[in-house]
Amino acid sequence: MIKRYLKLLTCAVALLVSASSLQAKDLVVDLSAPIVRITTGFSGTELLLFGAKRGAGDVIVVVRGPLEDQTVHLKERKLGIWVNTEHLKFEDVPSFYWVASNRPIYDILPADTLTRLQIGLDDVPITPVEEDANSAEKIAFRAAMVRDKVRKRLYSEDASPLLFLNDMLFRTKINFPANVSVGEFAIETYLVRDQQVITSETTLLHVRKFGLEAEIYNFAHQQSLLYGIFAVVIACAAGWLANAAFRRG
Amino acid sequence: MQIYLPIAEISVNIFLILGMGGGVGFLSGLFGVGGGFLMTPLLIFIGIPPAVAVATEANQIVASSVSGVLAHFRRGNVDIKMGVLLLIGGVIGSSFGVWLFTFLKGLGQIDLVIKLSYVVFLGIIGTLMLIESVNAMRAKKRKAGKRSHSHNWMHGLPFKMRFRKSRLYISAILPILIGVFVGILSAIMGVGGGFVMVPAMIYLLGMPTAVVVGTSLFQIIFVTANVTVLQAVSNYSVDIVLALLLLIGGVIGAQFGARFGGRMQGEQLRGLLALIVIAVCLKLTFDLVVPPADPYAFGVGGH
Repeated sequence: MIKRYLKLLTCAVALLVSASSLQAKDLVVDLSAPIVRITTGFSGTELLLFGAKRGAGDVIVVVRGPLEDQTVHLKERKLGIWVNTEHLKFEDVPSFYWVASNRPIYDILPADTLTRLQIGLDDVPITPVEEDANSAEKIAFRAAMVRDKVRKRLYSEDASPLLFLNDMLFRTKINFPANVSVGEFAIETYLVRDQQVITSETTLLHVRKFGLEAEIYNFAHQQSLLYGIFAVVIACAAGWLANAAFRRG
Repeated sequence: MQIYLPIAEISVNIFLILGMGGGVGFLSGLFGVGGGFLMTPLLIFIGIPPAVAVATEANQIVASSVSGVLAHFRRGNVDIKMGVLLLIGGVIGSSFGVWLFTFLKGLGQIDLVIKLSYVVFLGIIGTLMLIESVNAMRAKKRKAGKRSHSHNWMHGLPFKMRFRKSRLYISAILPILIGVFVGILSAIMGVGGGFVMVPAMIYLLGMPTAVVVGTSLFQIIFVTANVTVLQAVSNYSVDIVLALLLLIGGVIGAQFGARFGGRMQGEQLRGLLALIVIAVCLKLTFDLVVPPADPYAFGVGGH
């Protein structure tokens, strides 16, 4: 583990040297892997984000997963049992949202800037489709959804720690749970000085299904009829095999 | 050891799934039931999305029914004519059931309907079975002669057909109606429906007990195959990896169950099964009645 980190840090130093001498950038960021592979053994993963900055300042990292639509249902007691009653649909909700910073984000940037840049759980862009939903209701449904995402470890509640190794180098870990959505993740890294964003860097990360997982998923979605028939044929063969084995045994 | 399920899109412990398949397989071998009514709720308990649990379980039942029906065929215990009529009804019922399933999923009520169906049917069947087995245990001493089914309104229905294997002369409408009803249950609950069909065949149609199980298994193969294909096409919810894991556990468990079951008495077995059915029913009722931890429910997508 430590060895791996050291290796990555060496990479970061190399990156820093080349970047600062060649391009004179203020901020360089990279990931321990550009792709998260969902294979048969996938049970979540951890990526290391590392980078280098020039000069003083704080660093905030924001990871946003692919957008998806979400429906939130309210459960109410009807005739003694709990049933879904009202619902609210949210469009283009980030399926994953995660923030890291070297100190609390509210100490780094003023509230209006955080809102404008959509940094922090309060400012995740989640808006319901129905315009007429009254605002108290909207807030309750939104809060419920954020709560659910935090529970599923898809949203980070508070900013995770980001470590400064010296004046230049920093690193942080990003945890992806097993239920992470597939697609393109955008990672924004902000360098902030005196409550002002000096510069920012966007890094892309791909979460993809690989190998058998991808083949089965694509088969099921692209040729669903054939997939269904295939599933039945396999089941019949397995049943016949079991019977044959049982007779002999 | 964790395995990522490609359709359910969650990571599960491979030994947990194999163990569940084995456990339910043992019970199904022991009692001679499909076990879908136990497996689907169990899958939902461990976090498999209900839609995936129902569709995948239908796929698994295809396999266990094929393996079961072959043994009955060899003994000549399948009334094919009756089975085909039940099947016609079953295909109509299950096709309608899958459509209803998709419709209810759109309304956001599918989880509730699945759970309520379980509570109602498990409650009724479990109670009836318990009463019947207790009565049977008592009546054993008295040696009451079993009377054949009585004549009633059902014998006035048109389209009468002769079923030689079942030694019956009844209207074709009856088996078709039973098939439709069981088909709907199969699609919504992810069960074979044997637990409803077997009593219906014995008590409503008056079929001899010997051919009932083989004939119902024959029908279940085709109905669950129909459900599997339709669910795959309309909901993309058949997880073939999960189905295979359940199968492997189920096949092994069923063999042990069948051997163990040979040593127990019928009434005791049915009484025990009734208690398990009632326990599952109570657990599901409990979950519906007790206030949820979070009064909000969530779903990806929308309508």
